Amino acid sequence: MSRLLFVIFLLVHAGGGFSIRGDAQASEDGVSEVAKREAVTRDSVDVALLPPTTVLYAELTDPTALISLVFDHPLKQKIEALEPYQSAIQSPGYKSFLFGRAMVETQLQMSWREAVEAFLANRVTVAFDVTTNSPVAIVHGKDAASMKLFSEKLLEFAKLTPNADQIRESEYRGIPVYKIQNVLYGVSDDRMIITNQPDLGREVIDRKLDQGASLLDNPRFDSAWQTRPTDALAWAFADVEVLRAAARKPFEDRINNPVLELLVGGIQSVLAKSAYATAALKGNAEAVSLSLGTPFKADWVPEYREYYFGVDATGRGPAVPEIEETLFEMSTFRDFSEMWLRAGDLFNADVNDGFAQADANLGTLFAGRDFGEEILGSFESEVAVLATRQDFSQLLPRPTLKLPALGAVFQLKQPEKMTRELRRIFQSLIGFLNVVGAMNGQNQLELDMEKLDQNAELVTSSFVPEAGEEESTDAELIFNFSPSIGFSGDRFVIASSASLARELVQAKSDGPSATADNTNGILHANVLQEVLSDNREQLVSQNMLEDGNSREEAEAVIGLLVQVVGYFEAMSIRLTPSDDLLEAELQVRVAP
Amino acid sequence: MNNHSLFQLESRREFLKRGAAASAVMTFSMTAPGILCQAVAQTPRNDRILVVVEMAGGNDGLNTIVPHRDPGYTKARPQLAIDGDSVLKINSEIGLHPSCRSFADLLEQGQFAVVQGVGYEQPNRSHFESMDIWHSCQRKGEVRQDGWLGRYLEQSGAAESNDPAALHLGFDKQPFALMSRDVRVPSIRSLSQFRLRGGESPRFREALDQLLESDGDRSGNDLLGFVQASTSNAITSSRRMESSGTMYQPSKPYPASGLGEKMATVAKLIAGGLQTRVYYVRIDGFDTHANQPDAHAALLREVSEAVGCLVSDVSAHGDGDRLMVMCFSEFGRRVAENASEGTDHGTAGPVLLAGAAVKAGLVGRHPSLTDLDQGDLKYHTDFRQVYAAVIEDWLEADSSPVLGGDYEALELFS
Amino acid sequence: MMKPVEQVDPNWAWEPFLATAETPWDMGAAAHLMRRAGFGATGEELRQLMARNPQDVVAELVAAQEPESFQREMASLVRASLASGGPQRLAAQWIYRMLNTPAPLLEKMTLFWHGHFATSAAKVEDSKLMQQQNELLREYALGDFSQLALEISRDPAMLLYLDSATNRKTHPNENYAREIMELFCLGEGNYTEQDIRELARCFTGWEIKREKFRINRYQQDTGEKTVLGRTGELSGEDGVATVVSQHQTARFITRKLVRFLVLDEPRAPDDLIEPLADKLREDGMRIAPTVQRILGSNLFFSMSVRGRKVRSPVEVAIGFLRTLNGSTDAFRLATTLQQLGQGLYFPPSVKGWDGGRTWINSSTLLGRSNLIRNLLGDDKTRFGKQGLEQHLTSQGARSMGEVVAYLETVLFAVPLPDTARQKIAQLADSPGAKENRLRDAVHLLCTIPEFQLA
Repeated sequence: MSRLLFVIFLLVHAGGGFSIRGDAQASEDGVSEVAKREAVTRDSVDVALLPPTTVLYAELTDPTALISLVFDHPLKQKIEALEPYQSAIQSPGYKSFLFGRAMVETQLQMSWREAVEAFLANRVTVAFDVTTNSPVAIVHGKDAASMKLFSEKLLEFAKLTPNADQIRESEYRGIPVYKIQNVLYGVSDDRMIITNQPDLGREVIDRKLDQGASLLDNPRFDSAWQTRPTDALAWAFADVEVLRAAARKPFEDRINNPVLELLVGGIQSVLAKSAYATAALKGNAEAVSLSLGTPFKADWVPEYREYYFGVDATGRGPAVPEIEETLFEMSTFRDFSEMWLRAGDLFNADVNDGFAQADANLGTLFAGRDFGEEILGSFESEVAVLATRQDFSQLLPRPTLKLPALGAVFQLKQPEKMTRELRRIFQSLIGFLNVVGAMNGQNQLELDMEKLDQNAELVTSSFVPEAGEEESTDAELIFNFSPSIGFSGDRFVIASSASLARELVQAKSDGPSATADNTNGILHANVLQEVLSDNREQLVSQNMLEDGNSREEAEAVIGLLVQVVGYFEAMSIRLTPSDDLLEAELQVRVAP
Repeated sequence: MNNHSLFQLESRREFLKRGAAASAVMTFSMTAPGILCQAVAQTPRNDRILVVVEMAGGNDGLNTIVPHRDPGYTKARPQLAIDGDSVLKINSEIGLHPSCRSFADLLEQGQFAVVQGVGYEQPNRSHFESMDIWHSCQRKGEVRQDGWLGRYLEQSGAAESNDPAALHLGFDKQPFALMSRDVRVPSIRSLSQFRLRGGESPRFREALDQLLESDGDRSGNDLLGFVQASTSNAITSSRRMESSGTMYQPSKPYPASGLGEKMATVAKLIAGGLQTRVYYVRIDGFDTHANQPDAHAALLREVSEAVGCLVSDVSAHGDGDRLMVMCFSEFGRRVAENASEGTDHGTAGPVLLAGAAVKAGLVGRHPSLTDLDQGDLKYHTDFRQVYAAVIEDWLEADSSPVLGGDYEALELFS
Repeated sequence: MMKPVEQVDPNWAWEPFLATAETPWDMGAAAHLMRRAGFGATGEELRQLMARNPQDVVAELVAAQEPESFQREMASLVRASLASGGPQRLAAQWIYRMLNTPAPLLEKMTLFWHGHFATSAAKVEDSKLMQQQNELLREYALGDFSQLALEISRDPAMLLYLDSATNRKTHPNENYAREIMELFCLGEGNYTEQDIRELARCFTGWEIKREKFRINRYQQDTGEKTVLGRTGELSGEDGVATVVSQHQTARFITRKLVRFLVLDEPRAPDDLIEPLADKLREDGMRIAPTVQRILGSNLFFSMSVRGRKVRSPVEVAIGFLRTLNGSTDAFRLATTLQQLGQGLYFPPSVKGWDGGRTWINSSTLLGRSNLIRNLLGDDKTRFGKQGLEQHLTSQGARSMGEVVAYLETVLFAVPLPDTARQKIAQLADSPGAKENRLRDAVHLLCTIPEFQLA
């Protein structure tokens, strides 16, 4: 925790000398089509230096804009106001950092800010070449003069280190090349080329002087390049086809881990067929997002993974009911029943042994019903899952540790038949838990039924407190739970608390019934902050025992955690298939 | 001194020649009083090893040791019966579950035995209660403070050994069978608990050896002398584990299952020369009330592969004569299957034994499928008779104080 | 006065300690006191103690109570531990208490009674009841033994542990009756099987229902009983009082205290124990005066008992940390203690921990050494909230020679072998960061046999 903060602090402070450059973003908005095309040509000049056998490519498209985004961000002031930040700038580590920075400034005869802005003025490109099996970086600076200056100063610094005797100087086609330990670098006009492989370095310089076939001639790169968003701060490309062929082992489609399979099984199948993948980083003052993309064809997904994207990849997650104080919500399309029944195709023998045992145990739990066929099979594939903060202010016994409630919403395939079936299964499950619980001396569950209206009902269960514990305000963990199910038409709800089940049953179902995504999930930071605050005392105690902190120290750490969470609004993730593209996006939104 | 202990001493010498600790221990044994030398040299009187496998949940004995020709069997198990073509034949009437391939191989080599119809009177069908009875040999209401293996260890004077008298492998609660008033049995989770950290640095190693050797005023304090002897022994153990880590190679790879990994650790500890007599491992999941066939097959495969691998690996390393594995479960399951392709809690079941010393084949008859006690098999062999044989004839100790009574030992060893 | 303990004059032994030329009141003596009466102390703390009269120091140790603020803090840690899980979490909370308590003797004695009235969560499986017992033990740790014996006889965790949660008059449960005489008060040979049967009748009707003690008057055997020579219509309370008031009880408890505080072996002769036991009877079985008498005695400080105890795993870990003003991850430490054979709330049997040589075998010795290495390498471990090097510097130990000398004083009960000093000084010359070399040196010191003694 404290280490993370220190890193944040260093990053923030490193940019202390930058001016606000918010206008850079604004000026991009009004550019004409012609200018855009020119920009594309200008954009590709560094790509043209890379060999066609480049398999991984990443660029900081506009380094100064990126740095400005981080350092001129409103969050920066908030973090600077934090107590740990203030004490960090008093630390010896920081003092020596300042000293080092001052030394660099003196040497370069320009401010820290000017130096970095000049060095990273245009673009930074990093690539990995499969022929030489080596990486290369091209730093496209402000102009030839400043890059020459940096090169010289770098050498001077290197000569001050204990490894000074290992510095070698040479020349290639008129360009001086230096080798420090095993890193080579040379400057050609306004670019510095850095690699650890002489051949690769030479190739880049040759291409700069003579031109010739380059990464731009790779058809897969070319296709990817067309999809590159103009407003990306950074962008990357991977030549999946070549990587697949170059891998020592043949590409294994099976994952052999049921949880991982559910999360990324479909993506695995796509990567087995697709030619390339891209990543783009975008951001502004309100949000930062990373989106990953790859070409996609529905028929690339083998039949045994149909559970993941649905028939013809048309499966879409449902709309999630709006519930107050939602901590986390997720909407997804997964045919769990099909996955369970296809386990034999999806997993190896070891995992299937596990499935067989789970099947036996779940069969016992569900009164002999087949879990995959009869239980999972009674639901449609659209599932909404959500976690909400529980309000215990009116509830007794009140648990010491206050956990969020968890709930899921399914659509029933045959509502009339399954409502009765599931109600009965739930009742016998509670009965079973009571029998086992009685043997282990655990609290008993009490069943209750409630008819909400014509076609909506709840079956709830709640733990019966021990005599004398009914009014307890430091009750055990189990009093977070009142496992319940509910029905409303074809909607089936299962939740860890009766009140969440009730809200989910009663939630309005107007508005769109589906999302555009296969899966999407959102974590709401404001509710997370509340949940953390609800359990502050627990978290402080945990920290004292785990980190050996005093109460004051632990309070400070937890206080900071709660505060920092409050700086954010939400984190979201989505997976979206379309006709020819599979896209995944991770986004973090900052609190206004 | 028999041949075996000569060999032991020889290999210990050989080891010592390599280590810098050699001079330390040698010098020490020339000057120290006899009792301390004994602690270091530690030549065992009897070094047979017992590995106990607990199959928790109630193993379906009827589908493990299958009476496939018995019409009562197919009648009681319309869904679950295993047909005569797929069982691994023990004799014309009885066969092993098809996934017990490794047990069948052991049987062929004369290293596997099945004690049939094992149980006790007035059987209890609660997991906890029946398991406690098997562990403690005491009924509910009687004072249960120690387990049968714990009492054996106490009686055998194991408390005085430098190495742990017994080891429990796993993360779960220590088995009650190993409890006793005087002998403490460590639970270990991995082999790293037997390796000294920091020992990989030669500088640290060398300094430590010289410190153990050094001539501080340890003679005036018996307690200090004792700790020094024990420390030398511990460091020696650790070095043995390190060298067995590099020198010991399993003769074939252990299965990647939970039990397989535990057995691989047992094999390494045995190869490392640990003087531990009893190893205890547990596998859970035998409570197959529903959808039994695949689950039970997987469990039996895990047990038989792990045990088979251990027996053949330990034999390949020359210690086969010292090893015996005993697999038991708290009860068998009802004869008739239930409506969920499963079986419910029952009574008598088989105990499985493996190792070079066992008298291979079936011991006792298969319990009758017609003469039942309210739908359950009637036991004909008390589990304490199996224990008695193990204590008397394998561990060579007096069984009656351990079992709290005289039980006629079965003839299980050749 | 290096006389073997068998030959010590019992009168001299328990007289208040007078410093002599052979046995001065020095850093070594103060460190010895703090090791036995607590969990060790830093050099700075020892220097402060040395400036005072040893009898005052002992009196203060015995009288020390947890300040209210500390009790509140611990109460909230207990609450948190109970809220979030099993007894393993409780152990972490007790470790925190031992590491931070301003009343170390109270904690040491609570640990003593935990081993004496041993009750394991492995069987009780109820954290709340385990903690309730722990608080009972702390309340009476230096209090009235008669009262403690009565309270523990009605303690839910204890009775659950000894299968004595029900006790009907038609079928008296003899288990608790046996243990209170054999293990808690008298020792074997001081009662008959008939006494057990009769005492068991006294306890009929005592039961645990819904985690609470109650007397079921319909199950009470109200007839006449004869226990240890006393006859009457004895109740459970009478039964406990009868056992505790035996002449043997004071002897039994005194011997166990002497073993716990003074020496593991050899066994102290009866002559040596008797005068102390007499005093305990005179004090009405109050523990504090006896403990004070032991800790302030000539025998306690004499060289012949220094290093005559094997450190328990708790003493190894908590002692190491408190001596170096350390703090660490209490959860991880709780697990390690369990592996080393002293799981808090998990004594191995109703007999408790046997102590002495039984702590030692090849697996525990490697475990002890690895424990120190793990503590040193864990980034949760801090010494006086800083690194090891900074802490040692703050205690005036800069060079490797000074470090060894400092650790020998604060951490070791017996002198180091000369080679140890040389070898560790040599580590100072080896390459690598100083912090790492210091860790190697400390680890090495804590691996040699001398470290295992208290």
